[in-house]
Amino acid sequence: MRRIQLQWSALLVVVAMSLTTNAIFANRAFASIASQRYYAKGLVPFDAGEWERAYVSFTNATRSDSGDALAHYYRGVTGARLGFIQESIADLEKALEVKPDLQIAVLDLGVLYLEAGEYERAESWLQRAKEIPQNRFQASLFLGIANFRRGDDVAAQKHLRDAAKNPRLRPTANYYEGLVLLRQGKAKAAQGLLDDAERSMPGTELATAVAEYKTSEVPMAYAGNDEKAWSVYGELGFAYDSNVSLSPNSSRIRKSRNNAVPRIRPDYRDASVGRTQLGVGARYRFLDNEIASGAIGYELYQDFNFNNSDFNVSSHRIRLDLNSNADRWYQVGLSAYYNYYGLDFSSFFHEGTVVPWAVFYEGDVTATQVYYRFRGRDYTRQPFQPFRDALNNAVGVRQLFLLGAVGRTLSVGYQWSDNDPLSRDGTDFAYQTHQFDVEVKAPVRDWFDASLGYAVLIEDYEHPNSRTGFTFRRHDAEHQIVIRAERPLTQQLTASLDYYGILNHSNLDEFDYDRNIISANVRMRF
Amino acid sequence: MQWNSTMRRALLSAGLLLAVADISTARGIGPTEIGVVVASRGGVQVRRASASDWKPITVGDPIYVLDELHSEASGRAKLLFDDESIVDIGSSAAVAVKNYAKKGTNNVLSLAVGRIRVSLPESASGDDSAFEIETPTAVARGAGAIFIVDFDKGEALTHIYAISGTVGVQGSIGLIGPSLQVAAQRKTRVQEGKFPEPVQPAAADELATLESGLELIGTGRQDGIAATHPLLTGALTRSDEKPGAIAMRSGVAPVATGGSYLEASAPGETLVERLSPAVRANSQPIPEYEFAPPHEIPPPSNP
Repeated sequence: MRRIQLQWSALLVVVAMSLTTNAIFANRAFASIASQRYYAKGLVPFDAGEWERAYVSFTNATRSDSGDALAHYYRGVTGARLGFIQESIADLEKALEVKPDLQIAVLDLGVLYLEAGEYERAESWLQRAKEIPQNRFQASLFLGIANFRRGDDVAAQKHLRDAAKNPRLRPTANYYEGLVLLRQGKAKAAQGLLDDAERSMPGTELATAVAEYKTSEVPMAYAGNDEKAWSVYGELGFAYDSNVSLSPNSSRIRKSRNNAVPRIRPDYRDASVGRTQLGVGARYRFLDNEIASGAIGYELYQDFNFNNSDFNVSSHRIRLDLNSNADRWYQVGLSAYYNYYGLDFSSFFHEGTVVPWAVFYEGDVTATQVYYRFRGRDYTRQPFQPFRDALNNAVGVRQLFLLGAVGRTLSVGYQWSDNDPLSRDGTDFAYQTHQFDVEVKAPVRDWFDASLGYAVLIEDYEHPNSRTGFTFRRHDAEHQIVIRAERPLTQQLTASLDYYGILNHSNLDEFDYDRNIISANVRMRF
Repeated sequence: MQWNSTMRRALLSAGLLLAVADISTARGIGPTEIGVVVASRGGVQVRRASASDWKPITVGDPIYVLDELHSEASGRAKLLFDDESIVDIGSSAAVAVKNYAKKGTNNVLSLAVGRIRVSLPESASGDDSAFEIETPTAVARGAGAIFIVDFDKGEALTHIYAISGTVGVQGSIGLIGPSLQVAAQRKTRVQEGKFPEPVQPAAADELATLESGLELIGTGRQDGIAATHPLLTGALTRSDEKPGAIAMRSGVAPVATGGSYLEASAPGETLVERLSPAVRANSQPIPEYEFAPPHEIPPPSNP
């Protein structure tokens, strides 16, 4: 009897130990000794690229222990190199089932589904992989390719641009974005991206494919410009303008600097306004061949200030742009525009401007632009007619830099101009200007495209100013600041948030003012 | 009696090894390879017995008797020995192969500092493994066991964690008599000059933390499918993903001229002038000149 009890006790102990062991092994983070041995043996041929030998070792490892996640993962990775795509998918899924935190397998499983043409599953795994910081850019690249293959160009571009932020992935990402653009018919935009890919990977299949494309004789008409010949847009916005009438910062009537007698302050009513802004425009490309491009456009702008209609601005602009198509070394062009401005729905002034320009490219990432600008301005009402009617001549130079990626640019410029009034009584507006400016454009992560601009205009007026009793001259330094965030909402719809700061410092209090404008706009473009 | 026997064997082995080494060197025969590096990451260096300098190891490098290895703060390595023992070296560790005879006895790996994980094969005879892990305070062995040995040099303290199988542990001072048996999911520790402390359970999360500090996925390089994808080295995986093929389908010809990524726009206006017609429309204070035209001196105020 006692012997039977001992046997039962022993059996219970064995069962209990077995259950405990099973419970431990079910959650174990390690594989069996035999499996580890085969797995380790497989790593050396794997590292040497001896895929068949490695595959045998990893297979032995998985047979020794079907719960060895790393053995399954490496058999899958090896199998993929041998072309066993479906088997590799099964291995990686098994690896993730055993070891869900095997992060590298998440990305690779997405890539395998991509190779298998199962794009929805590929995107699902790649999206998961993208959430893992160290996988982000690689996941973006393969998400871009998956979307390209599915035909979703918008999503493809978004992911490929993200991937291009990683220098190692940039050539491949640019190559595929080039393909996206080509599919959209945008050969010109594709060109730069494909060139970058070709240059970054010389001697590869990818570079050869680009070179073949560039030298191919395509029996079609030239289609260098990407956009369709016609485009139209409409824009609606709301803005706050702190100083629409350019009211001076000083509220006192002073005689300090100009020794003028105290005088009555002009009536600056309702300088601070809110307003609605409307804009519409159209553009037509009438010339587009291998030598040159040409387009004309029209833009209408109208704003409605809520509490001061005196400064409601109407603007009509007709413009003409002609340019040679960019040579590797230079490009020349001519822009001309006619502007008509109204205030409170009555004519204010109109002007014509002509700007011939040339750009010289120093390699792929820097360029120098030089130009001459002629402008004639005619005021049609008081108080500036005829005093501000003037001819304005300007020459300028601008240096452009690419900041590491397409779409990220820095430009700095200098312009000298001379404003020459036509009226003998217009001496208050005879001045020369030295203008320095800098502009930066870059996408900010995936959130928006940012434009930052700063300009300083040093204005030296040439004659004693009427505000000083014609005793001395006016000197202004105008600082212009622009911060713009622009985000495409759909292919047609874009939203933007802008800040414009105009800080005009003058030696005459009458002209010393600050103006701050915050503007939110949506633009629909077809 | 057992001590004498052990000592005799050890001295005999050491003497034999030195003799073999001398003969090998004299005849120009290289040392015998006893293992191989199967994974390495970060900085891990080796110093051969015949050399004085440290050299970085890479996957496929052989391991010889009397090799010393040390890992930097970011370094990890996995070694596979001929007897199919596997040793994972953690960061900031130093180990040395003190003795090794293929399928022989008294194979000794010395851990001077740091942490290693050891996976020992089953013994064909059913005895304890011939492979011993030795620290300044303890010796551990166990055929068919996976265990972690951690030696804290500052405290002169060895921790031993059994992950699977059973590990036999002895203090360095008392190699006589039976070893302390540490079963799976148990641990012990041995202080300098002491015997092993009583066995205690090892918490699962404690073991997991120790394991993760030693884990080295694959060869330690970027082995994955994505990281080594042919597209990243300029190979094309599909013939229809070439610009010529896409352009032909889209009816687009290549741009005739080369060019820069930069596109210059029409110059002559500042950014704010380009973006804001409201700013562009006026830059002089109209009320000021409505009050007094540009060619007139503004009237004085009444006192």
